[in-house]
Amino acid sequence: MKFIHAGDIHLGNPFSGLDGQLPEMLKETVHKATITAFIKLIDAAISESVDFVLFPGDLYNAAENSAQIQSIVNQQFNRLLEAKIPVYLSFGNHDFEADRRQHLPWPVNVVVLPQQVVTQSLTIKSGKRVAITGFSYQTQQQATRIIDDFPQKNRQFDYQIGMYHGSVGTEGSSYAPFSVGDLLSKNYDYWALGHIHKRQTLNQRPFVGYSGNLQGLNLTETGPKGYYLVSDDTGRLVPTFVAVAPVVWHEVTFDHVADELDLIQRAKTLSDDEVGFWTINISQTSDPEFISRITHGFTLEGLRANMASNVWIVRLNLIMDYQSAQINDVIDQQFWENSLTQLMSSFEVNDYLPNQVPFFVRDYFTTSAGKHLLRQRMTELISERRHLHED
Amino acid sequence: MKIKQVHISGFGKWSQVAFDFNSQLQIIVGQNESGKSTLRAFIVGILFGFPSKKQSKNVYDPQDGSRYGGDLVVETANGDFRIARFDRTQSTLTITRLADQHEITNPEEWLSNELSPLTRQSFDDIFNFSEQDLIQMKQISAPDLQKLLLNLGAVGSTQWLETATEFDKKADKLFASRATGRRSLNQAVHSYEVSETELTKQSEQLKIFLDDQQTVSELTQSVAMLEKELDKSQENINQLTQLQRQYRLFYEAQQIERKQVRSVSESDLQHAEQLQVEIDLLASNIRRQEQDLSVQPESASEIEDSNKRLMTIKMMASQLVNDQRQHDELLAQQKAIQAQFATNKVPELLTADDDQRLSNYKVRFIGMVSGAILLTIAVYLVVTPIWLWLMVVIVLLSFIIRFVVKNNSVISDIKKQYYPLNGTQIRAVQPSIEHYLKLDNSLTAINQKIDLQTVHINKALQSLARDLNVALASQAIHDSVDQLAQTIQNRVLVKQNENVLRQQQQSQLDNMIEASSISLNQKKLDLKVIFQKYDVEKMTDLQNLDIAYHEQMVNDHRYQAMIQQIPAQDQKKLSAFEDAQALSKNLENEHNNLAQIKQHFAEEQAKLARIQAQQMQRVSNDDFMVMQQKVADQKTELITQFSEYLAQKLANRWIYSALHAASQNRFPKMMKFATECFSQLTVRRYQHINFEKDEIIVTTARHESFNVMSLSTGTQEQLYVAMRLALARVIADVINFPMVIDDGFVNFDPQRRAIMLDMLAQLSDKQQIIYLTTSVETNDFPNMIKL
Repeated sequence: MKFIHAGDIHLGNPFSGLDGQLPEMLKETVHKATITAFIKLIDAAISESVDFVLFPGDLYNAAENSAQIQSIVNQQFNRLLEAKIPVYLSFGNHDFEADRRQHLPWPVNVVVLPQQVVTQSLTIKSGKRVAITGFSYQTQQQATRIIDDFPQKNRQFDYQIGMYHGSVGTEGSSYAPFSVGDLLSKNYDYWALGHIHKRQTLNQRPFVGYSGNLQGLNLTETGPKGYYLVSDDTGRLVPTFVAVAPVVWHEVTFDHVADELDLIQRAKTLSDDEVGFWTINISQTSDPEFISRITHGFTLEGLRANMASNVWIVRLNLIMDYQSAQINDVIDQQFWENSLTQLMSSFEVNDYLPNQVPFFVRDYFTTSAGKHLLRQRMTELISERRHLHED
Repeated sequence: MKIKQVHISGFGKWSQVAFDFNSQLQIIVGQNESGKSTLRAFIVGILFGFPSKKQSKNVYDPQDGSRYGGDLVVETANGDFRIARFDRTQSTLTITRLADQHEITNPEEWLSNELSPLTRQSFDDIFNFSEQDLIQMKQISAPDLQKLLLNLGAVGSTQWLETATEFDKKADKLFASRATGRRSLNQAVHSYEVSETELTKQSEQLKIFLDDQQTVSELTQSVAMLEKELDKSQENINQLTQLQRQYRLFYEAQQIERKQVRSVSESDLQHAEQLQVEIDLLASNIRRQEQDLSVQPESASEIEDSNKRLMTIKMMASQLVNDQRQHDELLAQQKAIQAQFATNKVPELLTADDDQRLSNYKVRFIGMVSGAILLTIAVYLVVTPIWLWLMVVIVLLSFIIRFVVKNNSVISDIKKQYYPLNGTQIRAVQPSIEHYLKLDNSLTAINQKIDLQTVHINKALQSLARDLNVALASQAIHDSVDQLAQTIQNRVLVKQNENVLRQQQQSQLDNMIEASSISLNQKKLDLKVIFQKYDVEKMTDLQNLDIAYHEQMVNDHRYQAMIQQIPAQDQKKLSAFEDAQALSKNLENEHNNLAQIKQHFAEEQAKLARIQAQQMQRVSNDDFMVMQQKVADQKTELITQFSEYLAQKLANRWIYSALHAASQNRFPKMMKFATECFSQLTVRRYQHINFEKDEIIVTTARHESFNVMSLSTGTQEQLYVAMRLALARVIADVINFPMVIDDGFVNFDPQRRAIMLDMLAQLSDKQQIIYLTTSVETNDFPNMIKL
């Protein structure tokens, strides 16, 4: 018994957070990153001759894909077909419309789970009987407690595996909310979760967890990315992480960087077998000139020029560690803090950005991430000024 | 905190000096350039750190080369401390508790805690009050002043307000809210929209790709189908060609008549034939026996017939007798007639001519002569030449002569014959002669009859005798008749005997016939069974059937021999064709069909190849992903830039909001002192300061209200100073820290300066005030330092 659990392939998804300065060679790698990872997965499925492959959602963005993506999905699934490896596919919040939109026909080894919870059964090479239970999103959100529709483990099967695209949450949350207890109560042998891009284990025995996405797509999705190769260890299904992402995002913080030269020296120690996309945070740096060069982007430019060809510095962040002390100590701190809280809570992006600003921008600033970014930047601005005023 | 002593090692123009400060109001008087501001900078430098070169132009390097720095002795809640700071770069801070000369181990932290929450900035904002502030205040516009005053309750409001404006300006440089804006961010948005549109356009290619993929699969199917059709058509042609080659043979085979004839079993046929022979034999036996049975009656009739013939002969004999009697009578009559004549010979009967001559001789003679005379006369009258007339007369005469001669000769002959009878008698006996002649004829007839009869009878007798197989003993008819009658009688007797015998034989035959008949019927029945079996009626039919069967066998063999050369399935196909022409026609049609399919196939294949090539290109084309990444990058860029824009805009709001909140909070506490101060500074002209919404309204003793903007510059300045002092005072309730006023009221008139000094003296009850000024109107204050 051996299978692959790979959530959130996001085939063909662009990387976000890049500034368009990427060298051509890396651009090519970036364009193909999700595809490269996906093909590696298929290669492994065949070479390991797994019994089946599970994709619990977000295989690709249904609304935005190309002939190339369609063709690759088709080709690779056909390779599995030739190897007689069935594919179980459920749609998540990004590919929920995949079946409704026009697409190349699925090869016959691909089982697409419907909107309702269904249990598919198969008999694997060893003769054991496996049940796979799951569902697909039909809309971008799935706020009902679909977990309640999952049946208890059927004892006539040797293994029962749940395929679930969603996140822990209470009823009414957008992405098929569940609790670990809900899942455990079904007595399944394995829960192949999708949706959360960060690889994480919610329960060890039986395994309940996310394989994370196959390829990190932005600077927050750091670390090696890949899939779980799950095998039977004396009756227990144990996942082993296999990294396939050709581009690995990293984040590192350098303290007390004296100057640019120091920074470059330190950054040169960053290396990676794969292509590494690095976010460097600089903390406890007070040289105003250095800070100014950082904030104006000169430092980043110089840094990039000095890096190995497979290392790309995506962003250089200044951690304004003096800001907290400064703000804390100010006499009007309470007023500033209250004002910020009040300002952000009553913040309506449309008061600041007219309709001509693309929706995604306005939408971004309604999210907590967007608000957080603004808050941070505002604090930076004020702190910087406070600092300037001091001098 | 209060500053008790100042020791300067070296700082600007100061070196190796020391000052003791009054713990309440310390007035320091000095002309311009006397070192007032340097002293102030030293105090701030010791507390908050020396200025760096980068931060400010003047770093106050000691002019005489003394060691940079010095110390302050300060009084805190925890006792007195010496804060010593030396050297501008890599300066050292030493703090000693004077009570026990204990040196603080972490002086930076101790100082920071001691000053907290003050920073250099907030100290400047709150407790450092200089001429600069007033100059700055004067430079701002009336609305901004109002704004400043409204926010004066907050620390550092002046600078924050400037900063806020600066942020707003920066933000506006980034992006213009109006649709026609051409700022960098507007352009970035536009550029993004262009990319997005391009991406959408490219993503529409997917639909075309999928549609074409559908077409590809349809075409692939179609091509595969056509290929099959092609093969099928080719096969059809091959088949038809093959069929065409076979057609002749097939046709000939078809011509062989094939009937379904029943086979006759050899034994049945033999049995039937045997039966037939036996039947025929039996039938002929029966027939013969039946003939035998019918022979006897014929024998009886023979005798009877003989008897009848004898009776006929007897009748004929009696008839003969009669005829002889009649003959004899006729002969007698003749003799009677003959007796009339002399010679006993009966003359010949006169002819009619002779008769006439005998009776009419004289009449005819006269008539003839008379006629001749008349004629002579007539001719004489007519004919002129006499010789002619004479000729006629001569002719006539000769004619008459001759007539007479002849007549006389005839009559004489007749009379000779009938001698003795004369003419008349002659004529009378004529009927008798006639009768005699008749008799003569009858006699001749009857003689003939008798002769004939006699011959007949003799013949009949002899025939009968011959039949009866007896020889006639006599020539006489009568005897012969008797003899024959006797013979017949004998024969009848014999016959009767024979009949008895025969009847015995007959019954025997009957038995035999009956037996044969039974056997015959049985055999006929047997034969009929056989016939019925073969559904025939007679033997010949059965034999014909057998012959037909054997003929058919031969045909079948021929047919088989021919047809075996053609495979069974071909035969079936061949039989579908009416004739060879139909087959050719079919082949021709198939050829046409093949050509059509070939063409269609080629067309579809070409189409498929073309679309497939196109699809390959689409599949290998990663423009979409490149564009997608570009859009993603643009999005990132837009988010970054808009967050910058928004952060600036929001920071602006934040500043106002924070200042407003702080001011709103402090104004009530500040108001009493600010009003008193303002009232005094305006020499009691103004009595009240009111905050109404976003306006500051001041009211005179006579209840006249003025907006800040309508006040004179001097009054505005006085209001500002009043509020600054009020703020310092309110904050001093929380933070006990010296206030440093560096020529803060330089523009005030002496009266107002005196009022100010009074107020500072009052203020210094609670808070140490270090007042640096160029001149002072009074010497009332102890420990005034003059520089």
